[in-house]
Amino acid sequence: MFWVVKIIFTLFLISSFLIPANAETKNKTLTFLIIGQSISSNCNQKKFDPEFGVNQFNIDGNIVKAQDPLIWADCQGGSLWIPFGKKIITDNLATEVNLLPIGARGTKIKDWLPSGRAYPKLQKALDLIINNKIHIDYVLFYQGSSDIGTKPYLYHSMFLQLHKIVKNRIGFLDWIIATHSRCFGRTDKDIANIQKSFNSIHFYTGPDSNSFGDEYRFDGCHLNEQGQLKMAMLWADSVKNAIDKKKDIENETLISYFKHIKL
Amino acid sequence: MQTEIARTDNVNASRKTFLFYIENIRAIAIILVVLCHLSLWSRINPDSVSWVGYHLSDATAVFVFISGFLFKFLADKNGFSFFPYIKKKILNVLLPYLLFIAFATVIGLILKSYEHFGLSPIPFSIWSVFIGGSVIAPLWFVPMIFLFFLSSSLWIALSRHKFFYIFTYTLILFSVFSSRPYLNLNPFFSFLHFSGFYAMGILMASDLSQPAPKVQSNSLYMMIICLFLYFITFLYFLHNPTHEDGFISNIFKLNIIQLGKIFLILFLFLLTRKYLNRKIPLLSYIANISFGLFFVHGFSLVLFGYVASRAQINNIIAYSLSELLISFGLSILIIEIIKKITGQWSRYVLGC
Repeated sequence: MFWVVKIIFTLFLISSFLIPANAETKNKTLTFLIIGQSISSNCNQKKFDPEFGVNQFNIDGNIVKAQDPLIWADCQGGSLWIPFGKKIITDNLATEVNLLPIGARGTKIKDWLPSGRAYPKLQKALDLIINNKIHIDYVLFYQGSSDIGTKPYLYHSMFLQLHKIVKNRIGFLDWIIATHSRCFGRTDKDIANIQKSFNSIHFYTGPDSNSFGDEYRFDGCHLNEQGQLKMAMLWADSVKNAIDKKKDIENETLISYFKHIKL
Repeated sequence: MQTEIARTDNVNASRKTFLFYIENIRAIAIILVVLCHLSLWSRINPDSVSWVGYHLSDATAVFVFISGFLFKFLADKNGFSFFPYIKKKILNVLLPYLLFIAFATVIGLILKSYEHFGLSPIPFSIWSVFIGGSVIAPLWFVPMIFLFFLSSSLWIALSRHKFFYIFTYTLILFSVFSSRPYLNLNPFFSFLHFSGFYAMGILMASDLSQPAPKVQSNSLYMMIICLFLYFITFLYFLHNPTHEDGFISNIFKLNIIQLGKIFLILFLFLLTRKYLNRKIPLLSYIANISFGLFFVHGFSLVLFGYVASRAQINNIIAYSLSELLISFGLSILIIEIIKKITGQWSRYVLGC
């Protein structure tokens, strides 16, 4: 009897180290919902030309080629998302990238909550996702410099409220959260620390926008062409890291073993 | 001959004496565990890996140390036989755990927590029982500690080997150069990570049965050294305040928090043994209900989180006081009510 217990224990121990076979086929299309303020929108310097395989959703939810300025986002300049999409494809993370960037300039995080000025836009985007049965793979969150001076625990709490709003409408999604609390020479380290602190099975670390000096910005805040290209690379790397980390988490927590059971 | 008699007397005396200092450390450990889980720290200090986190996190290590210590001490005192031992653990630990995990899993099913993990309900339920902390986070501890119980024969055999201390030092090194699994949701990796502390507890208990225990000699100097080293590791942490969970990804990476915990445990052990080896009513009470407090406080904190979000308590003092009251006060109240209702069966429901 005692030997039976020892054998069972040993088998369980060994099973922790086994990586289960990946039963899922490779994801050919990655779809991103991008929430944030001006730096996540078309408020940057360079307008990028369309790239093959990099698309966006129009107002009706149809997929069209992505071209700066992107349809849903604020401002009439350029974004970083076309070079981002191109990098995702060249890194073999997907063969097609669909973008839904709904950034609104100058928004504090509370503006994305009920009675905030960006809330109607968020709800409209979520309605589009639901009505068109769009499958979102990641939410890219690129906001924070408008919240310089906001109490950190309030920022933390409001972010979780925003997450809950999105979750309640379109389910649990993986969020990649950039560190962005620097603009026009001012940086809020507390907000940056809060943004870096989000770390769970659905929150992953995004690029550190605060590390970009003025050589990457054309007005002290928004990105010039060099900044857009570099930030695009960093965002693509963050997506790759998130994919790898999620796989590690699911293997280590044994979720991957139980995920294949459909009961 | 006389030396032999004195040696036997010393050994017998150490086995007969109630270890008040271990009881007091157990109380301190559960207080640290509960404090560590409070959300008020993130309001006071927004950094995710803060000085508060350094001092309070991984208080589990203290519990694992005590577990190893008491296991060896009681095995030497009363003898060890696997089946009676595991039967006792099943009744006093596994049974209350199954009751609490069943309750937690039902809550998880109602709240659709399985969606958070990308699982469907039945696999989620099975997985929850297996890993413990899917809904009420602190429950991850029990599947891990049960692995220590299951491997008790192995530990007894190893502890009797003359080179057990080398094995212990190796395990301690591994504990310091590894991290917890993600979200604490793998009892096997947790078992491996915390093995060093369990072995350390066994080694300290083994040492006690010696005629001239090493821990007794120069304990004041050792206390000072341990406290100094704890402070040094804290300073190192302040300059390198990063720590990530993940067992596989952090193997052979220095875990400064656990290194500090080694020194803290040694310091607490020596301090309580030298100065607090007596019954302290409040600590004694907390130690006696420690298992119950461990099981219940997670539920209390979830309840507090729900109430606090509805009430929107912005005043930091009001928030802190109410969270402390709920985490300790409400938990103790629930424990006392359950003990009253279940009477002599409370041990099988609460673990105390």
